[in-house]
Amino acid sequence: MFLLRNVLRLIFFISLCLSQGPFNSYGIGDLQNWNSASAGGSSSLGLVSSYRQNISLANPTTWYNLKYTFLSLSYNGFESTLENNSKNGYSNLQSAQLIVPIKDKHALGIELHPYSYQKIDMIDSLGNDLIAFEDTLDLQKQFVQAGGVMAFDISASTSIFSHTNLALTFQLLFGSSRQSNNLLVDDIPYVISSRLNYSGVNTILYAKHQAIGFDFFFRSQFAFKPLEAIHTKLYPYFDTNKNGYHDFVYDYLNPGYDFPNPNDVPDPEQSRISNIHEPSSFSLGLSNTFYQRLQVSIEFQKSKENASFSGEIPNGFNKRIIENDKVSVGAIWYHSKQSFKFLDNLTFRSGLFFNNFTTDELAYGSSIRMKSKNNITEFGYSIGFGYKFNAVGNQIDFAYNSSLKSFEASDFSEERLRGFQIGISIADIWFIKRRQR
Amino acid sequence: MKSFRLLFDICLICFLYFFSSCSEEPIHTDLSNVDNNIDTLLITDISGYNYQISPNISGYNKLYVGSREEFTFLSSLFNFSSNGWDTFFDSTVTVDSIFFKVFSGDSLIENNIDLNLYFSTDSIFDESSSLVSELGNVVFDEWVGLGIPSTEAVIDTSDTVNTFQETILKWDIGNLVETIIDTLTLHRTFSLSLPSGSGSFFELYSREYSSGSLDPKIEVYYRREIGSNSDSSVVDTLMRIIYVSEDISLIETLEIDDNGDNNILISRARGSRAILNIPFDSIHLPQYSVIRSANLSLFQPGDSLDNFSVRMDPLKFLPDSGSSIYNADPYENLGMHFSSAAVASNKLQISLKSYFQSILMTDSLKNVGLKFSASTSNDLFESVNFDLNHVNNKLEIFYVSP
Repeated sequence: MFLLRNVLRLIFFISLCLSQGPFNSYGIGDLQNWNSASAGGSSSLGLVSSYRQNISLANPTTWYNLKYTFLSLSYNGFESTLENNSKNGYSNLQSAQLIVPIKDKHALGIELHPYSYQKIDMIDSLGNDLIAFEDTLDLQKQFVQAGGVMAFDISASTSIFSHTNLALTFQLLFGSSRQSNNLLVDDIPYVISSRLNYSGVNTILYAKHQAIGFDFFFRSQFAFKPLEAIHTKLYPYFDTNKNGYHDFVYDYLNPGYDFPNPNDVPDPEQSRISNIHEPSSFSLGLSNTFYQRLQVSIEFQKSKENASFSGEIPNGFNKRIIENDKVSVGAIWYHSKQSFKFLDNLTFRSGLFFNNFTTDELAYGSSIRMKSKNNITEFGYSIGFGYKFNAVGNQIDFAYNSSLKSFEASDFSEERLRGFQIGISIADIWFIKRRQR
Repeated sequence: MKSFRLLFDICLICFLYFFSSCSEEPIHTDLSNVDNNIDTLLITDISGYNYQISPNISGYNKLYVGSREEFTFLSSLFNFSSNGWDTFFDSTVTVDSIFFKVFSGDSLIENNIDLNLYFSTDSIFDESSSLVSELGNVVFDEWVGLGIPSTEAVIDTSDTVNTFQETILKWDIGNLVETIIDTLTLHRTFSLSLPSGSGSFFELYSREYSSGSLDPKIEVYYRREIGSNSDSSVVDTLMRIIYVSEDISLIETLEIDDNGDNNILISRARGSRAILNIPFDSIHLPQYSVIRSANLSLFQPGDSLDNFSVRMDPLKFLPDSGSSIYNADPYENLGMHFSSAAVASNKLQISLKSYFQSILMTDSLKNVGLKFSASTSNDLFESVNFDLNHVNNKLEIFYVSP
C-alpha cells in the first residue's frame, strides 16, 4: 500500500510536466529508447537480460524464466537542454506490462507504451517586419505540435530446443497528434491546425540461443502494415482571442473575435496519408555472466526507415531519421538469490551507449527527399539499481541516464539529455492452478 | 523494511527534485521551411453606377410636413392600432374628451398654424412596406377634416432660467369619438398636411424619437360608473393614452441630378443608392487564405462631409434591368456580411473583409456587386458624392495563406 500510494503520487506529479525536444519534430517523432527502468539502467537495447538474471522485460524469449505472473509499470522523465536555446522537462508513462509465464517454457505478454513523442513548441528565430499599405507588421512563425504514437504489444514466446527460444511480437500502433502551424501577425496568430490519427502494425521476431557459455540474442523488426494516418486539415483562422481554439468568444484581454467565424468555414478536409513509417531493423546481443552475479553485455542495432513520408505531413524541422545505428555496452551486478541481506537484494546496473542518426529532408520547393550530409550522434551513460522484495520477488528499479546529442543545426549544436526512470514490478501467482483441498 | 523505505524515500526526493525544474520553453530555430505567407492584393479597377428608389424614410426619428430646400413633404401619416379601444365601448363608460397630440422641438411654432389634421377609417399605409412614391397620390377629399391644432410650448421652470422643452400640437377630435372608439373600426389613420401653396414647414417627433413621452398619441378622458343600482358611485375622470403604432412622412420623389461622369450619389431623402463592382473573385487569392484586412477607400470629388455613414450590403444577385429608377429596390441584399463606415476627411474607408472571406470559403457565393446606401443614422437631408474616377480609389487586401 505504501508503494502504491507513493507511486500514484509520483505519477500525478509528473503528469503535470510536458515534454519536448528537437527529435519530437523529426519525422514521426522521438522514438522511445527504453521500455523499463531495468533496461534503461544498463543502457540495454532490450535484448540482453537486465531485469534479473536471464530475464529482460523487453525480450519475450527470456520471459519463460519468470516464476510468476508479473505486472510491471514504469515511468520516466527527461530533461532536454539545448545549448544557448531552450530547456525543457519531459515525462510520461514509460510502459505498463503484463507477463504470464507458462510451464517454464512459454510466455505470453501484453504491453502498452509510447512509441514516439511528438510534443514540440518551436518559434522562428528569424522574426521580421513587413511594410505594406503604409502599415508595419511584425511577423513571426511558430510551430506547435502535441501528441504522439502509442504502441500495444502482444507477445508470445516458446522454447523450441533446450537452449533456443523464439518469440513473436505484434506491435499495434495508434494515437494522434495535433499540429498548429502559426504565423504571428502583430502577435495575433494565423493558425493552420491539423490532426493526424495514426494506425499501423509492426512485427518483431526474437531469438535467443545459449552456446559456449554465452547468451546470443537476435531481433528483427519490420512493418506488417506501415504506419498511416488520417490527416484532418482545418480551415485556417486568426485566433484573435488567443485562446488556442477556433471559437466565437470575446476576450477582454485580447479584444475581438476569431476570424473567420467558425460557423462560416468549410468542413475539415480529410485525407489518408499512407506509408508514413515503415521501419526495418535487426539487432544482435551477446552476454555472459561472471562470478555468478556479474553480467557483461554488448548489443548492436541497425535500423532503417523505408517509408516515403509524404510532404503533406506537417514537419517543423523538415527532417526525419532514416537510419539509426546503436551500440550499447552494459554491466550488471545482480542480487543474490540465496541471501536475505538488504545489500544482497540490490541489483546494480551501468552502461554506455552510442547512437548515430542519419536524416533526410525535403528539398526546397520539391517533393524529393534528400539525405542530409551531417549525421547526428549521441553518446551517453546510465546507472541504476533495483531492489527485490517480498517472497514472490517484487522489484522496484531506478535508473538515471545522461547523454549528449550533437547536431549540425543552425540554432543549436548540442542537446544534453538527462533522464530518470522508475519501475515497479509486482509478481503474483495468477493463472496458476491451485491444489484442491 | 526500514532500509527499503529509506532507500525509496531518497529516490523519491531525487525524482521530485529532478522534475521540479519541469519547464516548457519554445525552441528557437529557423522555420523558413514552414510555409506561411503574408501578401497583399491591390485592386483599383472600381466601377459603379447610381440608381434611385422611392425614398425609404420610414423608421426615421422625425416627421415632416411642408417644404425645405428642394425637398417637399406632402403629409405625415399616423396609424393607431385597433387594440385597446374596447375599454371605451362599454355602457358604463362615458368619454368626456379626446385629443390627438404631436410634439415638436421647434419653439417658434405659433397658434393658428395651417397644419390640418384629417382622419380616415381606411388602411392607407404600412410603415415597413409601403412605398412613399405610391402614397403620394392620396386624396384627402374623402377624409374627415379635423382642423388646425392648438399649440402650447412646454417650459421647464424648475430653474431660474426657463428652458424650452417642446411644443405640443393638440387637436380636439371629440366629434369623431363614436367612430374612433367603435371596436368595429379596423383602421384609424390620421394625416397632417398643409393647404396647397403654403410655404410652411413643420418638423415633428416621430414614434422612433423617444420611448413614449413625445410619441404621437391620442389622449382619451373618460368616466366609468361602478355598480348598477341607484346609489352607485361614479369615479371621476380617468385618462388613457393610445400611442401611435405607425407613422411616416410622404416625400415627393426628386430625380437625381446629373452627378457628372462616374460620380455616385448616396442620399436617403432622394432614394439614391449605388452599385459598385469590384473585380474580386476567389481565384485571386490562394486556397486557405485568410484575409487580415480588406479596406475599400472611396474619395469625394470636392467638399468634405464628415460623419456621413454609408452602409455596404453585398448583393444576392444582379437583376436584369436597364432602368435606374425604381419604386421598390430591385437589388436584393445577401443579408449578411454587411458593414458600414463614416466619411472622414473626404474619404470613405469601409471594410469588405467579411464578405470577401466568405467568397473565398463558399463555392456558391459569387461577387455580383455591392450596394452602397445611406445609413439610417444619417440626417435625412444630407447626401454624399463619390468620384469613381478618383486616382486614390482602391481596395487594399492584406491576407495570409499557407
